[in-house]
Amino acid sequence: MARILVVDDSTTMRQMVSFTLVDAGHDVVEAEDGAKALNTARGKKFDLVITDVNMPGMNGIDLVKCLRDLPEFKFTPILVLTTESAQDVKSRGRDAGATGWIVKPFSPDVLLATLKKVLD
Amino acid sequence: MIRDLLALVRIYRDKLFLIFLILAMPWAWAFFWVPWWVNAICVAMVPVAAMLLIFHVLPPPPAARRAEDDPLGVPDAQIRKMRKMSLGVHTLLGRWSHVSDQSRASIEEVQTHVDEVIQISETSVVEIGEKFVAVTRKTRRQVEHALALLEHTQTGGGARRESRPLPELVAAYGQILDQVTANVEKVTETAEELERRHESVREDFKHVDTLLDQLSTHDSQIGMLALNSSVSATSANDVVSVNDQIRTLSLECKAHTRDIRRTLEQVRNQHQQTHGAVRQAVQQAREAAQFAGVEGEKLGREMLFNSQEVSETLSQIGALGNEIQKDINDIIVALQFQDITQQKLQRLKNPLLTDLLGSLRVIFDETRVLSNKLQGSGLVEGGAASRQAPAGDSAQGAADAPVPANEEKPSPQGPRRKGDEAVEIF
Repeated sequence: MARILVVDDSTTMRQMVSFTLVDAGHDVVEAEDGAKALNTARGKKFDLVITDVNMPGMNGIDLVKCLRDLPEFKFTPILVLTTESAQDVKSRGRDAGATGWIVKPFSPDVLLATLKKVLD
Repeated sequence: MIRDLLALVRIYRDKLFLIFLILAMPWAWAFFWVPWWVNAICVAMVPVAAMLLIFHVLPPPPAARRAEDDPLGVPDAQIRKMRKMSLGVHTLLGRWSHVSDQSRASIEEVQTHVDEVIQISETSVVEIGEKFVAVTRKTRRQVEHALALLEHTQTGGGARRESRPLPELVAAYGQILDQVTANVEKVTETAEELERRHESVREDFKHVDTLLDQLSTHDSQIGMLALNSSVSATSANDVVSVNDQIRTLSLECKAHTRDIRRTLEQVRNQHQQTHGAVRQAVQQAREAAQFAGVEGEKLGREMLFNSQEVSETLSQIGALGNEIQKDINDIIVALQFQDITQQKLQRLKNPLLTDLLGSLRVIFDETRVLSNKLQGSGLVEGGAASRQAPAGDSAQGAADAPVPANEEKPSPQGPRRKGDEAVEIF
């Protein structure tokens, strides 16, 4: 069982991700934008972070950069779950330090398989 | 020229009929007396004559009439100047029309996107509804299977009844166990009886041993007596005494022999009884074993059938559970489509508003330029620009309204279709 931080401004999407992860036995903490996620993440230990890109306040790519600056998240896997599939946006995410990129809508099986691959 | 003519016609519009009537009277008088080509020339000359009459013969319109047509009392030269200015207004209206066309095209494009998004959203909602219905039906089937299984195992109801319900099976097992227990108790009692009879036989054998010892003692005494009587019998009295003793011993031997025979008879009887009891016990045990075997086999078959039935129902419930899980996954994907389309709709609104505000700003700038030109020409007071200012300010303010920096243009390829999952691990 992993402790996972899910960041998305859409309540529906957060619920879908949480439903899938909790059903698979993981412990999920939710945040609705980058700034709140950063506040939640400070000083705490998470095994994985899943974040959206387009969010009010701090977007997902900035959040990845800020998390990578924190020593406790230097090697933590960070997955980006977004509708964006353009290569330049992916490149910005990879340069920011994202571990993987999943394009919405996600299939629960695909999400869990990706989680397993990343956590292993 | 034509515009001047039209303006004069508009001024003398209430006297035009009288003018044409005066001009046509000579022609009407000569119509029947002159050749046709003269008539044609006269008809063609009527407008020319009317123009000459209006421009050079008739006096200028009265001041009251001029005041009615031009309340400001603007001189004709300024009117002509304003006519030239109106050309600029016409150009402005053309540009305005162009901008309006662009705005309309943008709105139509957005409308197309919105229609597409709404259609996809509706499709997703319909799909979600169908999946929920499917999930509900499958769940109901699961419950029905479970209830049927429960009823089957509890009451034994149902058409394809091949085994008794589990409570009856348990009760039957209990009865069989009671019977087997009773038989075992009987066998135990028989064994105890056998033990007692064995003890009795052992006592009989001890008694026989004692009798045999006594017989052996008597036999030794008889032999000694016979030897003594033959060696030391000197008188008839002694012989009689010895004979009495021998007779007594002989009688005792007979009595002991009878006792032995009786004891052996008892042993034989007890042996026969024991043999019968053993046969009876063996028979009872065999019957109990046969009964237990037959009933146990029957119950085993029924319980096996029940277990197979339970296993089959459980496998059906498991298959339905897998299908429900798959439907739930589809619902999750469909809900994501719904959420994505809603977000796209939300993001479409701001670009549309920006385009409209840009168009308003262009129109406002053009209007302000025209207003400045009019003010510079001295034809109008400065009220027009001041009247435009508030609307312009509001438009400007609206145009400068901040647009959230994170709002991005909607993806040009539109919403993704289901099954296009893309995962990339860097």
